[in-house]
Amino acid sequence: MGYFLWRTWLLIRLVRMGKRDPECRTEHLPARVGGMLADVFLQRRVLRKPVTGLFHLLIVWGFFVFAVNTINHFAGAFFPGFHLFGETALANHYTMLADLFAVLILAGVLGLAIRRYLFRPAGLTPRSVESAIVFFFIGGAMAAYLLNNAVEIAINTHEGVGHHIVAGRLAALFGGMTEIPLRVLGHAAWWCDAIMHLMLIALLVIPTKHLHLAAGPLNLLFKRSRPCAQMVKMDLEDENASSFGVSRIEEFSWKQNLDLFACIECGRCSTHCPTAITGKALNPKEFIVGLKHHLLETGPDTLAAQGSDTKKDGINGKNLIGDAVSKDAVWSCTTCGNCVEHCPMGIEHIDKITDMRAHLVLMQSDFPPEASGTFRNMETAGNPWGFAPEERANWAEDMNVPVMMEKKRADILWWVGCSGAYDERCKKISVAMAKILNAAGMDFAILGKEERCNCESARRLGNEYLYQTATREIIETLNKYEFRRILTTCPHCYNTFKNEYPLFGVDYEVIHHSEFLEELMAAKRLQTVPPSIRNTTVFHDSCYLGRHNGIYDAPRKVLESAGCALVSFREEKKGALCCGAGGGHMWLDEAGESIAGHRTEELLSSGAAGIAAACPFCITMLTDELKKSGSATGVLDIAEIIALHITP
Amino acid sequence: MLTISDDGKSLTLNGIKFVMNPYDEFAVEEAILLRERLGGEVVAVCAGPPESKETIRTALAMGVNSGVLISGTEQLAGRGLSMALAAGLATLSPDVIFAGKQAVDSDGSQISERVAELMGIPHASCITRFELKDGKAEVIREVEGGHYHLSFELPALFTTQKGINTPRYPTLPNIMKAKRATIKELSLSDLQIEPALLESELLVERLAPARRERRRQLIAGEPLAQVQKLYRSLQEEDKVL
Amino acid sequence: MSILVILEQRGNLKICGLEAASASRKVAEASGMTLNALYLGRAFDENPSVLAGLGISTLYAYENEDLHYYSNERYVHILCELARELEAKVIVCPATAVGKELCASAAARLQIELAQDCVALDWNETLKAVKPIYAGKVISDVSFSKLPGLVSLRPNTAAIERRGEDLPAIVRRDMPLIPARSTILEVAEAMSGYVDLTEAKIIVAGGRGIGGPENWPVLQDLCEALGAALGASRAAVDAGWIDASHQVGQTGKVVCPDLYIACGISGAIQHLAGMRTAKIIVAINRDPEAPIFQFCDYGIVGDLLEIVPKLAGEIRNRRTN
Repeated sequence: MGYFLWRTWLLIRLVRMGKRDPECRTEHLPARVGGMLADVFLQRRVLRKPVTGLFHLLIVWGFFVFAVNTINHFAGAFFPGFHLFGETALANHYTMLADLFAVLILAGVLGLAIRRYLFRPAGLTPRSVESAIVFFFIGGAMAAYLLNNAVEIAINTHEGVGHHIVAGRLAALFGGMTEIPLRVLGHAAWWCDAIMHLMLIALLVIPTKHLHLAAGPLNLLFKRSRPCAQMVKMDLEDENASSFGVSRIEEFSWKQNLDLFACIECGRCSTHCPTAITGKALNPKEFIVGLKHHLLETGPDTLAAQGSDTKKDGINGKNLIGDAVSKDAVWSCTTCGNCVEHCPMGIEHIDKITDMRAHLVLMQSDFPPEASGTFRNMETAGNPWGFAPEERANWAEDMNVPVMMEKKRADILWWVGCSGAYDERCKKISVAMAKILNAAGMDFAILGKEERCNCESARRLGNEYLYQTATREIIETLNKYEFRRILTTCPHCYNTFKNEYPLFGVDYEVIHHSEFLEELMAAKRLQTVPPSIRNTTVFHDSCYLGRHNGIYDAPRKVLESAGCALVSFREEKKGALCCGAGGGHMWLDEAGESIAGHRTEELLSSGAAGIAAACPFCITMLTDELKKSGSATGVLDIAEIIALHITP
Repeated sequence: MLTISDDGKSLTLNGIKFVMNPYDEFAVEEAILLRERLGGEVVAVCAGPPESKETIRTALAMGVNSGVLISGTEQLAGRGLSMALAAGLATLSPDVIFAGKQAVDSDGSQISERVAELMGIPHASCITRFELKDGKAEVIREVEGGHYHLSFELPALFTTQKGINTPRYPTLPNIMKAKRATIKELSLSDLQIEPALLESELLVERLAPARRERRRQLIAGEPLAQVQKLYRSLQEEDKVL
Repeated sequence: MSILVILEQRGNLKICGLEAASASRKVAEASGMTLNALYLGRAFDENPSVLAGLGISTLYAYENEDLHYYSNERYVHILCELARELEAKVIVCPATAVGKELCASAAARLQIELAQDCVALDWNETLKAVKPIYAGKVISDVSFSKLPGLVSLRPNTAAIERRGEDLPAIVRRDMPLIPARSTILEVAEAMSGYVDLTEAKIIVAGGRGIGGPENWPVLQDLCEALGAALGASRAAVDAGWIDASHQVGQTGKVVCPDLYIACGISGAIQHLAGMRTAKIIVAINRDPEAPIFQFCDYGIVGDLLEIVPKLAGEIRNRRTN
């Protein structure tokens, strides 16, 4: 008891050691509670894997059902014959239920154990001893419960025997035994039951992953409600800040700490992580587990040192970055969000990584050297490759594309983006888009030479300073002109303008060209000619369009309206694999197997004749891979596909 | 955007972002590396308009100890500019002066060498390695088709070539510190120089834009004819062979 | 009043010096001044016919073993002394690494202006020159409001013009040399066949189109013919065909050569980011749709394994003639 209380208190303190979380996690409390209850009772996240989920569901429901029995069990030790429901019919119905669930729980435990130890699925490495122990105690408690009741029935000292639908039948097994051994067996079973329950409670607070019973629902209660790919605006002007980003565990927020305790090491993050499946340094599960161990190892000492001036560089000589998690792991992430999407416990992996990157970049200038040139180019030339800023609108020459500097106001400000302006392949997307905008008679303009990189990818790499400098410049430029909304052909630009710029005090209406084209097609503003052949097309969902911003249907509707025969396949929409360019990786060297290669294979295996996408990064990565493999299949942007069908 | 002004003799530089001359970054880095090895102090000196203070702040963000701006030199070039710089540097009595091998706007490659001559100190341009050994500077300087390994008595001046080091990326704390730092200013009168003596005797008569677009000339024909035509173009027209 | 041109030597007289002489002759004729030349080095024992018909009146040869290798202080001293003696109103020097340094020092000592790295010289009541600025984006016409004036001439911009067979008079001088505050520890020639990528003036680069590492010798042969450095695109490095130290591109080396020959390179933007400042870009690629053809000065659509050896052969042919 004392152990339980002591450990619980420590765990609570460790969580609260964290700083304030940037999001108010108690806003909309009723909705949060509702969501949490739904997640817990309906197991909706866990059930994404239906069979495994079902087994776990049985255990969860069983847990709640058995709660009554557990109380009876322990209270009955002090007040014999105690039953929560007294002697009512409810008590009898309950007994039936409890018996039934004892078996179901056993089935659940057995099912999960077989999956884990016999079938050995990829996400469940390394082999977990903790799980075995928990299985043992849960299964054991259930078995003990049944045994206890069976014996009691056999001795005929148990009341309400008729309602023990399972134990009653088991009692027959003991028909041949005499009373004394039966009583001994009965007591032994009773004690086993009690002890195992106590062990399970202790296991909660050691802690083992069993702690998820408490931390999980709490974590789901405090789940993130702001956009997934919205990074927090750091206050870089803060004179009192001694450090930016995170380099020590106590610099995490309390929610980030709670995440660590909620982790059940299920491995769904890792099996869907593009870097983990291509053998790179980052394995999200190991990452979170590594952080959890670091918190448990060094947290108590840090708590003790708080209030005093001593701040050791690494408690027990262990640093957060380098020892708990490797630097390579920190840099490997593409911020695709598959980990967050698939995690049943609501853990937010990405922010921890970008927080650590921010520290490495801002405080130590310690980042992959190949990014240095790109940072400099973004700063001085306003684009990642160092091309001349005055050439930014060259692609639009003779294309009837108005420029804001002359026009001053337009309904649509079209943010072309760096790729669309400078990359030969992506210029074709801009040309297609210009054609569409003119054909539809839209009132639009581009910034042209005044446009400069918004440094979104630099921000993902941790260069918050460069990002904020660019943001201020861009807002200044945008403030010169009048426009109703910003249209962009790039999901990264879309994400930052829509979700991150509001934190800088502006409120633009932002639309991605997939949504815009859907609008146009629905309003019949374009005259299109249906194609003579309906090409089978598979759509590649970009991380920053799909998972991060929930836009899955718009591009598909656009493709259908262009007469494409859309092919569906398994790894699409929410679970789509990253192309490998996100998180700043467009500018970095790639180690190990190619993520884009992996994704390209998946897309080709859908059997479609062509691939469509709506992001210049994705198109660049996929095009390169297709060329490398010598495939005849091509990738087109949805704008290019529409432009092909516009009546001249 | 680089545009030539209406008088045809100067450039309109509005909207242009001024950055530290890339070759100077190597010089700053080399100076900081030397201080990290042997101690001492690094001062960044710049002669230019008030906006040059931002360039000095970049150097401060990289880690130099202090900065000095020599003001009133906007109209000077070559001869006059080097005289002003030399006078300013003389007040600091440096042991080693590092500078970039050329400014990528004027493409001059003369100011630093002139400064050394005026200060009466030996110098070498285009160094790709620097080492201080027994109070002497040992450098490797590039020449076409090879290099010289030289030893210099101090004080001396060196201009840095690409490849000598990798300039560090400034950390945020250093950027913030640099923003708040005070930069000393020296005017021509502080240096007791008569401005009239510095006036340029090299006049710009005319500026014209050079070809900037790529030619995109596809050479057709049989392979032998193609390479012959290519050779002729490269040799006679572009003179790059 | 005269013009003094500095002839650079490396054992033998370098071509850039003869070019400078020809460019100076134009100024001499227009101004009516005599053209003299300065030589610093070992005993001048070359066949004087190398100076025939260039219009040089007198060659002043300062001969000393210790002048064979460039020494800034000694060269500047001699140059300034001679310039003063000859009342040189115009001093011309090749704009080599050494030449530019020499000019800058001399200009400071003589307290005159210097136009560095010019591509043309002229005379119209005073000395005029044409020089590129802003990395060649702008051409500037300059004139000297006061003489003497110093100019350095970019190599390979003036043609060597010979008229007739007249040889200059040669005045040999063996002056005692001033002490120098720097010493030469070693002079190294670049390893033959190897040119460093970073500041190479000519680069030949190979990409996925070369087909395999067994084809590097084809490009290396062209490198040798040109005195070029060997580069590679990321595709070739990723394929394991060559070491990453040769990679040109956004995550590799950023280069700024006069001539960049891209063989079998598609021209992805990350590669362009590493060589976009090249003065002249030549693209050789089998794929007419390759993006690099939008970004080159000269393009040849064809099989590089056929084109490159022919180009190397053509260069060697022309050079021996």
